[in-house]
Amino acid sequence: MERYSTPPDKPFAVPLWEGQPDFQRADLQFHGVGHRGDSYEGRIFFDAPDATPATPLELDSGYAGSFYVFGHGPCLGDEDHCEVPAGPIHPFDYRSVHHLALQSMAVTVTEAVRRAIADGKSEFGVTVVPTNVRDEEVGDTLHFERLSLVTYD
Amino acid sequence: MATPLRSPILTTLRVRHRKSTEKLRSDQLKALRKGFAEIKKLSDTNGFWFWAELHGAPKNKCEHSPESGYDNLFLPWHRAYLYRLELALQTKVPAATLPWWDWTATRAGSGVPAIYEDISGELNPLAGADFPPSIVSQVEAAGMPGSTWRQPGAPSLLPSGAEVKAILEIKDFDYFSKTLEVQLHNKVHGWVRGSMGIVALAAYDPLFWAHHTMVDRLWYLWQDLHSARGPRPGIWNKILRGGLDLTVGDVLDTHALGYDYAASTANREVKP
Repeated sequence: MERYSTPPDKPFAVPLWEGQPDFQRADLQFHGVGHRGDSYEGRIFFDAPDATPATPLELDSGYAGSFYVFGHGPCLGDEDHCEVPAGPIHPFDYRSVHHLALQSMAVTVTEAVRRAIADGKSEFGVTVVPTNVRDEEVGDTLHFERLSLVTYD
Repeated sequence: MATPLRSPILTTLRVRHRKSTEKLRSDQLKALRKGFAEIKKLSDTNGFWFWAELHGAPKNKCEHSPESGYDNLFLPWHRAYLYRLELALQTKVPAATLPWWDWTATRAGSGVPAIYEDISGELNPLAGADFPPSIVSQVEAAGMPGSTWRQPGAPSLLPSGAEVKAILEIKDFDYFSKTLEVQLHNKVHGWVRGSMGIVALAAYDPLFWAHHTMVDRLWYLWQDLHSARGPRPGIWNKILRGGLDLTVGDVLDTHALGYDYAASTANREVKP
């Protein structure tokens, strides 16, 4: 995908317990992260679906944090070299995990979540803008399968 | 007397110091350059290509952020990997040690450490490397050069001292390891761009080894700061893949591997 935004009808609810924030840390966890293609930075914004690489990296602009993907680059093997197998094909198939097996990443977004609570929000949307080191939005490199908000007390 | 196949472990093993790229003495830099120049000539198991091709193409044995539920071997695997290349260097040039790239220092200056840049009128073995015959045709077919290249960003975008300090203060090892990898390690690979920004090709750039030595140093500093090893004991017997011939437990203590980290060193021989 080129960029990601939570669907308008499925924002994250601000994490409160009996009306109060009771967490020390809040993480956004990205599961099933693909890493084919170029390396990039995934910039995370709250309630800023129109964010671009030029959007300031400040809480006031909705910026919550970034994760960085070390991309594998183009396929340098034979045909199907970069196709990830579904799993072991035999009980003694002890081969290493495929080099393009999906990854997981977590970004601590505590300050941004606290800001949403302080602003009286009951929910917020998440937008991820994939960007390179020259502040250019990179196309079709972003891939993940699940996004979770996890708090720790 | 026949030579034993393996030397006995030296009880008087000397601990060597890995130093900052910014603070190498001229003799230390000379040893490093000579070491890389020598191993680039080799086609055996001490050869630069032999080790570089293990990380990415064509062997793809590196360990990075796994999906949840899998053991995170990012730090142990790369510590073993650095150690094996350093042994290869020292086989040819005993005084050579891998230096660490202090991103927090070079962000105020050159970005890429100056010793890894081209030198006018000389061939600097640290400035880059050709890709091996095993992959070069595929690299070129993909529209890329036949040797390493860099396209670094602005030096000020490298990690700051404050960012490094915040990550070192994380107590939980798994959280520390993953944050170090994703927020600093991955960021710097993407900052250098070119072949360093591509997993399959990164280890062919000599700069890769200084970058990862910094990552390893941060694990070393974390261990010291928190008086802890890191990985849970349940995985200490796990063998690090790719023929590194070391387990996770083998690489928990840098002193057991014969090295330590220093800002700089100076020695005086004392003769009786």
